[in-house]
Amino acid sequence: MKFDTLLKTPYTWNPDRNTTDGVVYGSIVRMVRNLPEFPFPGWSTEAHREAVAARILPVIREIRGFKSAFYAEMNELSYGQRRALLTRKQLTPCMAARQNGCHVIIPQKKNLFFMVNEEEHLVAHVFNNGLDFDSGLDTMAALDDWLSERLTFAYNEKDGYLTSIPSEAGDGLQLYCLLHLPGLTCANMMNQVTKALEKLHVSISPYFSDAQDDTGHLFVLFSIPGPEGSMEELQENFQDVINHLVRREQQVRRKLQVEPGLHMQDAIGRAYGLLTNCRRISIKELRDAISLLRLGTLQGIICWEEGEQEMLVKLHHFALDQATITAQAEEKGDPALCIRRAAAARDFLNNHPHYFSEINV
Amino acid sequence: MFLTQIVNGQVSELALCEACARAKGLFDPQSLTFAEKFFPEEFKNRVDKLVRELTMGEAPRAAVTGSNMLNRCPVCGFSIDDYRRTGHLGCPDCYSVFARELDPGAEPISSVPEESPAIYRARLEKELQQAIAREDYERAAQLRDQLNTLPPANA
Repeated sequence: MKFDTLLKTPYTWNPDRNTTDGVVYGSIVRMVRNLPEFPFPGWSTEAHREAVAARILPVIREIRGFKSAFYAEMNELSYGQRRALLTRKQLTPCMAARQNGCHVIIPQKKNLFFMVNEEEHLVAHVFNNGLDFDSGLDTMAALDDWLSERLTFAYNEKDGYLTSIPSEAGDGLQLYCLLHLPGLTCANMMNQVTKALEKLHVSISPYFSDAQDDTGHLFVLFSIPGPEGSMEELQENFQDVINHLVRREQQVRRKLQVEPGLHMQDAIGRAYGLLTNCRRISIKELRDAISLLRLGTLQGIICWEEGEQEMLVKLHHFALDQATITAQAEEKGDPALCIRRAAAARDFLNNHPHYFSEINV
Repeated sequence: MFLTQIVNGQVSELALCEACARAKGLFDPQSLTFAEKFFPEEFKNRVDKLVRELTMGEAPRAAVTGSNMLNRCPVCGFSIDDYRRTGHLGCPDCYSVFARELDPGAEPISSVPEESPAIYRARLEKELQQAIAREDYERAAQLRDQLNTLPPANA
């Protein structure tokens, strides 16, 4: 599969299809494995990395649906292409910085993709809609069984599966969650949230890796593996933290909605006005405005003829598509991009009939 | 910080992290030279005590080098300092080489426990080089034969 074909492929995960909380977009389970005879990628030579890839890639090709997948060595991908994949969460920031001997494999119709010689020799990510780690862990268990019949992984009784970071050795599984937190962001509570999460061994970072701030109000939560505890305990604790955060976000949204100052309605109305009338718009402005439109949809302020769930997905995909286009176009230095982006936003709203509902406070 | 002590022809080598060296009052190399020169008895006693503590496993962050410890992985060349600086390891064999650093309660590594084929090969190769260097061709031939019986590296 070619890169352009890959970008035309719809996202394999869709926010809100499996969840009604309007906060959790998706769950990611990451599995890492290493071959015993080679140094870890961070300490290996190009020859080592190529030998590792030569061992792993033929095995991945055997997986159903992966024969026609998108295969690329990192040195074949341009900066813009890497940013596009980062935006789609089909590449990690660590992998985006790699070159020869490092490969990414993304199939067309699966929620699973692989990286070879990322931070570990073999890294697999599986996405699922909403808060659903069980499906991801089941997929990884089946994948692990299948791979273990064909490859020998570095393992010892005491430490489990060996990884380049000793504290992450064990079952080689990590959990991530994608969250939309416009309420907490608009209420300026993200600093408090970040500090509280740190104490619970959970890290939070902006979804868009190119952004240093909370653009689009999207975040990735990561459960930091501790020295003790099974995956079941880790999953349970992580889900508790996420559920707590979801409740807080919903509380803040409700509070903002009934606030006499009408700040939330005002912000959503301004975002709508910007998108319907702008002639130039930056990607940050667009992400923030789309985020507020999603919030307005969830709070019943904006009503769509196509239905709430469908439009939540479409709004999210529109923002991601624009981010992907931007990631690629910036490399070419296209000055008309802001103008085209604004036209795309106006067209999007024109093509999806909607109306504003007056909320009485 | 590295310390070498020779007592009655017995060589003891110590590698201390900064925290352990500070805890033992050995944070300034210049003051060590000064102490050795002006207070030889006290200095000797202090180093003796340190050696005893470390070999008894009383200092968890200390890695003893020399006869019974490794501070560099013979397979990938990653050092214990690299690990302390980055928090990463170089290869799967580093887990057994730096076992005591990773888990202070672990048994000291005299010969690496359950020596992996890769470590065993690296050790033989090193011995072979040393045998050739000192022109001990009989030993070199033995080592070469031993190496030939092993499965090829990266197989």
